[in-house]
Amino acid sequence: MNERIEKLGAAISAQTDKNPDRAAQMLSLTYRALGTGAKHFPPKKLTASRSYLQAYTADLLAGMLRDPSHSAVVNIFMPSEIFSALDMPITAPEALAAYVVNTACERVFIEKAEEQGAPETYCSYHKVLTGMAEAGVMKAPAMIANTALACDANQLSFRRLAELWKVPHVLIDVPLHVDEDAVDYVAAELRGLAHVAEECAGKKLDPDRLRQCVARSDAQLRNYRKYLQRRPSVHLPEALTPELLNAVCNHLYLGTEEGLNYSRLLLEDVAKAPARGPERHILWMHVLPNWQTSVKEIFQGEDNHRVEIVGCDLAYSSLTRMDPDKPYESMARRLVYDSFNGPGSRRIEATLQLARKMKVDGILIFCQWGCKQTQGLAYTAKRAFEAEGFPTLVLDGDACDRTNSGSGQLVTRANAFVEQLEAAALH
Amino acid sequence: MITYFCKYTPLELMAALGASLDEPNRETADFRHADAMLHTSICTHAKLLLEECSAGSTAGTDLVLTNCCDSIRRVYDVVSADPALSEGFSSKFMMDLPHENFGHAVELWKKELIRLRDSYLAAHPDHHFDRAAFLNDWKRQADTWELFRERGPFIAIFGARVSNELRAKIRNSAPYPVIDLTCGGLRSLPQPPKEAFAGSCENCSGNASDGVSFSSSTLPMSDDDLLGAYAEALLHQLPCTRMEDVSERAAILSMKSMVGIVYHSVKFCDYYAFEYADIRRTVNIPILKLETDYTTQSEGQLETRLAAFAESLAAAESSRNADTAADACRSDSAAASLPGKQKAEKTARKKVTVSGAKLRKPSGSRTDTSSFSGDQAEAIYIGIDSGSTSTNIAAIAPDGTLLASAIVRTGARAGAAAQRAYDDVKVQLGRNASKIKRIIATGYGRDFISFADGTRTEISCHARGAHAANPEARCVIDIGGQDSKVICLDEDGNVVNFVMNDKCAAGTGRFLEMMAHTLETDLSSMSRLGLQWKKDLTISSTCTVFAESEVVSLIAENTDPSDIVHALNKAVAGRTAGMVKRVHGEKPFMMTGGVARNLGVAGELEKKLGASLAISEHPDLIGAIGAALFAASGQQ
Repeated sequence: MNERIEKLGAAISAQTDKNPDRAAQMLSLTYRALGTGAKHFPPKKLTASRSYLQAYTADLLAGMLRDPSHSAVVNIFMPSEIFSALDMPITAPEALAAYVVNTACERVFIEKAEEQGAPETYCSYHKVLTGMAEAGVMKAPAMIANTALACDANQLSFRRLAELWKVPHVLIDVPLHVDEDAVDYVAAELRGLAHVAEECAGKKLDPDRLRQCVARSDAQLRNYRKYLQRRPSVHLPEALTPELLNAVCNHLYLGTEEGLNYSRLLLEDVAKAPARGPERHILWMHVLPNWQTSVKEIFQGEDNHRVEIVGCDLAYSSLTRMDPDKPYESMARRLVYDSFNGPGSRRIEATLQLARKMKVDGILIFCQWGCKQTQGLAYTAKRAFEAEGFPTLVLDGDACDRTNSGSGQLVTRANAFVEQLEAAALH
Repeated sequence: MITYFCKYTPLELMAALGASLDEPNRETADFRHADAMLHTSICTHAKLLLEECSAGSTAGTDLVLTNCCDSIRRVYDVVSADPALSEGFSSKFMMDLPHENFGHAVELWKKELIRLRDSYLAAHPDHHFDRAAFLNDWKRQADTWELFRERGPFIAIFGARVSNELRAKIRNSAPYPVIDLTCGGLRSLPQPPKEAFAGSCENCSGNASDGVSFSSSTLPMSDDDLLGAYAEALLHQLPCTRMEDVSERAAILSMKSMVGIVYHSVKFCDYYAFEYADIRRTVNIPILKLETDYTTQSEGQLETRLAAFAESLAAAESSRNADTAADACRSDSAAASLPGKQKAEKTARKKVTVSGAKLRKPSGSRTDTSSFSGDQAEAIYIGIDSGSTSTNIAAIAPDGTLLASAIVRTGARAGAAAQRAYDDVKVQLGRNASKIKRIIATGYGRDFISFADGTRTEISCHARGAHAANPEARCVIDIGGQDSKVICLDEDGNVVNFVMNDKCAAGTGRFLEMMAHTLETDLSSMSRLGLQWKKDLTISSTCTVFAESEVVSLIAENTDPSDIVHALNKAVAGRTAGMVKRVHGEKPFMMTGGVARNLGVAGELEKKLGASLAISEHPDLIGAIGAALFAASGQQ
């Protein structure tokens, strides 16, 4: 991470205790500048789609840090169309923390969360969000909502946030069994969520707007299905941040114009991309540490012709078809049939299907610190993938806490994996 | 037989289906099987379950798990994916436990109960549902819970489940009855509805004398409706923190008969940390925090904590008695305005001070025998702090003046080290050694010092010694060899709160010792180096092993050792400051223990706390001095 960002992060950290309003303002201004830069002066090395979505995300976060009173904080799996139809901006721990770690000030919030009781073994994404709330840097939104899917941390963090912010809190409990009864169950819960959101937004939910949002979601997910068909045959060297953006887009931005526009730009980018090169190709499971220079050096960059990440399972966990005339059932079905729901074998099978479709040479399972969902599945998945002929690396790390991920160990393992894939290709 | 682990498991239903019940809850020596199948950072209770499955102790049983948490879901996945494990069970079943406890959630749970019943009967066609036995068991369980609500003073084990062994140790050391209210403890079922007994047979235990009215003319509830009522009852137990509505947990903590809490958490289970932090802030009875990992526990550390807890319970009881007396005579208005805990000690304790007399060197080279320490003293009291790294001894006069002291390496035998230290001090005291009246031992090895007259925990001793050395101190931070602890004091030096590190060595003297070894330096050089840093680096404060790995990487990158040491100091300070904040420690702060001599750590800790640290001339003797003061006051 460059020195200027480190200095900025240190300055924001220093303000967090002394003057949390100032810290929030500094973060907001930083993201506003980032958004403006990405919008009006996009770096040449970035694809049009990436510049577009980074500008939108940075602007969104800048606005929420400045005044979150008309917005909602949700978890990444929460269906977003209801909020979009009510013009309520939303963000999730994953989106917020990914920006905070790239602003080099995540530690102060993590420490704040731990001081107030968050366990050290807790997911760092959630520590960053709860720490920002504890510090008073992230002020109370209009409401918060979370799904029980996909991890335990949601259950704990959002209850804590509700106590801190004293705002309405809605839980969408997603049954473990993947069937149509579960869809009806979740659809009923989503109708309840809509009522709470209407009250918090101060306006009625227009059924036509909700239909319009669900139609956008359907179009966006259709674009993504096309994108995945084209992706295996092209070379797109940058993947860490784009795949994070895809994960955010295919969850939080469903139903928004920006999400749909991004998916169109993505299709244009993939159409213009050069043909697939001789490098090894891998599928990434779970979140991506896009802050980590050593990881970037191994897995991406214009001059990197050894290995390329072609996809991340989190981004494509539920590309279902949506029916605008049945908005609640459509959103519920997307949740219930998400590959992260149900037994771990569903996620393993979905990843295998994606791996075959993307014609990858191997699979990397990134075990985010504190995420028992992925950590618990890692060795079972590794055995299953290897039985299907995909060499697999289980890599421990932290996508949003720089002090919790030693580069030395990580680089050795990742490089050894690349060498393993290269050796396999020679035979 | 079914293997289960969760209190939401429908045990009464399973028993009524003819199943016997087994809950694997025994500590294990290691996780040799589970670690091969699961990531190391998974809840250790979940790993225990897998360890038991792998070791064959659950072979032939029916596995019934609930969708309790990520870790348990993954254990079920591992079992399902492994034919050897999966086929070891007669059948296996994952119940989808909802997070809510009303409306559709009750319906969902009822369906799960019916699904389980049907699945079990399909696997065991010779079994049947015994409705009368079911109602009997349900009612008996509900009666047990009602009796508990009416009971006298008790200590609650709260938080995450405890192993059978740990529960027994807590019970053995506690001065009150102990009730296990953890997620693996007492099941709190509401009573069955009266309609459930309508038309019941004569053999059913529900009868008129129980206050349950029967009417044979009323149509009985169908079995499925009965399971609907049972589903609701199960979901309305005292909730675990995994459930959405946990308000009942706060309500139960306000029971007047609860005189103390042992709050337990399981390593890598995150569910209870936030609640513990809240309880610390809001509950005003003695609390002991324990974290275990389902492996055989370190006896010494556990005993210290349990003994310190028993001391605080005794002090709290004295306080309650004093309150009662004060209320009765209403003459001591000043005392009544003080914080409640341990007021009785205020009047009982003799005022003592540590004068800061210069220490004499160990007397191996002594030639002048004309005068010895303690010539003026009428009596001499000894405190011995038997720690993991060093054994520290202090001899004081009745007024608290430090007369002699010694610090020796503990080595392999605590008793032998204590004897060496004692011999050393006796030489320093010379002829005055005959004035030694009483010896109190503290520290891990306190129970192995046969010549001591009594023992106190190091929590109490550090508090006592620190208060004597610096009466202004309200928060004592002690970083010793394998322990770090934070002790909050009131204005009279009484312990009002404390926290200790868990099994992990990060943040202790041992951590610095290991890092010094990696850097090929010693602790005193490390103390100096830490002040000469130029570049502000950061090292993980999470784990000693990871930190060592990072240090090795930094050495390989030719990083200046002073910058590495500074980063390590910051890591220790960060971890310690976190402990201070967890117990809401407030200034004035005092630092004790050998690490207090490390200026780099102390400086970084001051930065983290935003306040200065008072460090006495003999920071590593404070525990021993506190023990000697207890000896002087005749307390043990």
